Amino acid sequence: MNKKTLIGIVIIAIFLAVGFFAFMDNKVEYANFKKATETHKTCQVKGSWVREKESKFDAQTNQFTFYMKDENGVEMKVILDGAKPNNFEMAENVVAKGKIKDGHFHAKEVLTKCPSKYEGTGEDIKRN
Amino acid sequence: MGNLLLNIAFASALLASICYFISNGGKEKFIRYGRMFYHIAAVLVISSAAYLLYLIITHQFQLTYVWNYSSRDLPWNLLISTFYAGQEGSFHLWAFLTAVLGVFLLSYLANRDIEIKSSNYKEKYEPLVMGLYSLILSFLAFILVIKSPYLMVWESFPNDVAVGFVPEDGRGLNPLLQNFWMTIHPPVLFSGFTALAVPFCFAITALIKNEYSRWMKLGLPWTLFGGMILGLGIMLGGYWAYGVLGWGGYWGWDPVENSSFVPWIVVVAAIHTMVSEERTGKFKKTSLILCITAYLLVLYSTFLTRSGVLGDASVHSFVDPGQEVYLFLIVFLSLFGGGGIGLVLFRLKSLRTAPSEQQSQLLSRESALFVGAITLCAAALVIAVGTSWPIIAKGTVEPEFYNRMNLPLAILIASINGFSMLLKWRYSEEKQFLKSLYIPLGFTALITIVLVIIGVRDFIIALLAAAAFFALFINLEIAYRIFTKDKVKAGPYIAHMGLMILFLGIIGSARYSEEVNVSLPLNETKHALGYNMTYKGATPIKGDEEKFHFNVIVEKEGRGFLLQPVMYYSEYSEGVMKNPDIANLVVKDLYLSPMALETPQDFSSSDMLSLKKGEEKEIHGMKVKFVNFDMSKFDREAMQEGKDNKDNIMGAEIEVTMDGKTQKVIIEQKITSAGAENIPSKISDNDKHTFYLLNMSVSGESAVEIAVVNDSIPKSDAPETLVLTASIKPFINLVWGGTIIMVLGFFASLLRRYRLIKSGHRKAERNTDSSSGHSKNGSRKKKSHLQEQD
Repeated sequence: MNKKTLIGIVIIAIFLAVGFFAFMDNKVEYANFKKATETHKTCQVKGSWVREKESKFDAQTNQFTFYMKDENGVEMKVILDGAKPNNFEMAENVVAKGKIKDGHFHAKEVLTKCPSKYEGTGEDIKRN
Repeated sequence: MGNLLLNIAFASALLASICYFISNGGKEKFIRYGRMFYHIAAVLVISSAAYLLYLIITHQFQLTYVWNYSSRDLPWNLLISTFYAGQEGSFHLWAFLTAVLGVFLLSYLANRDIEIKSSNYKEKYEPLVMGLYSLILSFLAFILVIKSPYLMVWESFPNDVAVGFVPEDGRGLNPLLQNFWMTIHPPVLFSGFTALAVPFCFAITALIKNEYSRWMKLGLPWTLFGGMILGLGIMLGGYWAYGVLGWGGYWGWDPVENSSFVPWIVVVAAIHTMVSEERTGKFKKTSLILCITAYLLVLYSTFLTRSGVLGDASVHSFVDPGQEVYLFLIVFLSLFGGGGIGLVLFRLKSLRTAPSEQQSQLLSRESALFVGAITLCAAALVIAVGTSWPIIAKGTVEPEFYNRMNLPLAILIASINGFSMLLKWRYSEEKQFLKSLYIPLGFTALITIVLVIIGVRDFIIALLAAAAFFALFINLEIAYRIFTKDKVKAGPYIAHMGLMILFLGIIGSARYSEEVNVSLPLNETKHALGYNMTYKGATPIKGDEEKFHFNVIVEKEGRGFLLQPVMYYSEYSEGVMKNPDIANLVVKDLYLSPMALETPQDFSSSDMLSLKKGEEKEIHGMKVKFVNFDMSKFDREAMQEGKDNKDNIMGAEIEVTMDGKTQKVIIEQKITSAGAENIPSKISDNDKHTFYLLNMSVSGESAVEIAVVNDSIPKSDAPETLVLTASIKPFINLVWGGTIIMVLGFFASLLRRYRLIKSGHRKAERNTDSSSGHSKNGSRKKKSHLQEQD
């Protein structure tokens, strides 16, 4: 084996090792609220906004609070660092990324999913 | 009619492909058929695009697609851009661009192939390249056949509307897409996707022919074009996100961004190995593999972003395209992927035994370029794995992963770039090389010391800045020398400078940005990030009265300016849309992103309560129960007759339990022509609580919303308050400037390559009658010609 190949292999090995650890640190798993409570790690929960319960933006802390119900029907208070996301009202589903803290889900990011709204439905067309 | 156009276009493209493949066997007249069918297919695809555009512009809302994405109130440029607002249309845009580019590709190939005599027919590139390219076009047309933009509303919604129904107006364009960048970003990005098909076809053709000298020369200008236009498209998207959408940054490592970035990195790597191959004959395999991979990644990106598999992982919204398209995308991808990889494996032996010259020296430019290309591929791999993670396992990857991995790779890329410029092709004298490093390294050391002094204390960031300055200095020096002689030859160095400037811009704007939340009560000056900010109220935007400018006067050291972030309620989104406003202060941006407007409310939320019938809740230390509605004062007739001028009173009966005593209270709301008016009620005159009826829902489950106010607590009379996130983005102009310089560098290289090929072509034309083995000589001559030029 010549020197060049050896250097190459060493570099690739280092790269893969660094990549592996960085990856394990930053992996976010899909979960539900039950699982999130158990792991205490950052995870991603899909669910829907509970419209009946209060939702508000606190200007002092720049946090948006709302209630979310996961796919198993478990309800939890979610505090998002930031304002109410775009398209929040029309979202069919929301995906919150964060972790459980002091009995609520502290989200760093909330994605809104509103596929059906981008394409009209039979109901929409009847209104015309 | 549209469907007919698309069906025939699909068939002609397929026929063109078949004819071209037959012609490759030596039946020369089939080339003419191939060309004819290709042109028919292209004209049909273009006609179909024109027809769809016509339907959109003339508001033919009986088409589901037109109804779904456009409306009468859109200005003309946005109306045109609704063409590609949905899945079907964006596939159509892609097919359209592919068809148009193919016309140029065809004439380019036909002209280049003239130099090849019919006795050397097998060396012609047009048959196979165009055969493959037509196949790609037919695939794209086929997607449109199965997912047609020409569906009528009554075909889409057979249960809801009758045949022949024409909606009055369309649903309109998503407000997030309603801006200038929507008209330019998608077409440019798709042009990049389209262009990467060309190097792919060239590489596959070379593998089929088992001939590896022509493809690279013919394909390089197209590869450069693809790299340029895709890079531009990606950054236009970045500017859109930054300037309009208010995401705060130009890059968020979102799957959609990543999936177009990965092919770009790979195509840039391909350009570098192709240039090395041109000079030294090495890295044939690598160039071929990279060109093939780049287009496969484009297809993979389409699959990722269109199939809905990333639905939970991205801020971009994905629509499930339906089972057929999903399956077809997989077929498309696996056919081209399998074919490409299979061919490389099949030719592995001849690629290996290809007359590669002696092993490259470690200290040579080609070795440096190769290591650089590998580093680029490593970055591509990191991003591709991270982006694909949601389909590999149930989970996503934090943006931090990409930052952490790509930072060292960027340092490597910048340093290798700098070193490679000082190295000669094939072999460099070690002493000479080290000597040439003195000045650039000295300069870099100086700048780095200055950076550390002014506050760059993060080691790895300082390292990246140093590497970027190092490469910038070396490229600047070379570019300056070349530029004075022949402008276009400086292309690569200009492109490198652009990238290094971009790196510096990223360091400044990402690592050293500052962000604070500010609440600005009306007319009250607050201090943030070194600026005095005063909110002066909202004004409706001229010509778009439903949107509001929130006027903020920003002042520093006597110099003031007005920033106007925008917020408005969008009926389409059923929510508040927000756009930032940015002050470009040359060395930095002041970025104001609106968060909310807090208006003084009649009741604070802690005073409000909603109760279902029979429900009891606690508030301010008492129990409140909603017993029933009280309609005794309600005049039903007046309501029915629509006597708006007559006041009407609705009421509810509640039970209040305080200090063990339960009392009945009637709370009422007066309905007047001006709206609802809340009438205060009290348990007794000397009780400090006042009760109000705010809302009642009579239909469905009976419920009321009430307010209980403790009068002894003074009501705050705060004025309306604008809540903003203010941030400083240092040196962000370097990001845009670097991108523009890089694109210009690409453009200069492209121009030079094109001229070279043209001049080579003219030369060949003059030599047409020389000898039968002329083409081989010709290519060798061209090679030496190239070397002379540098």
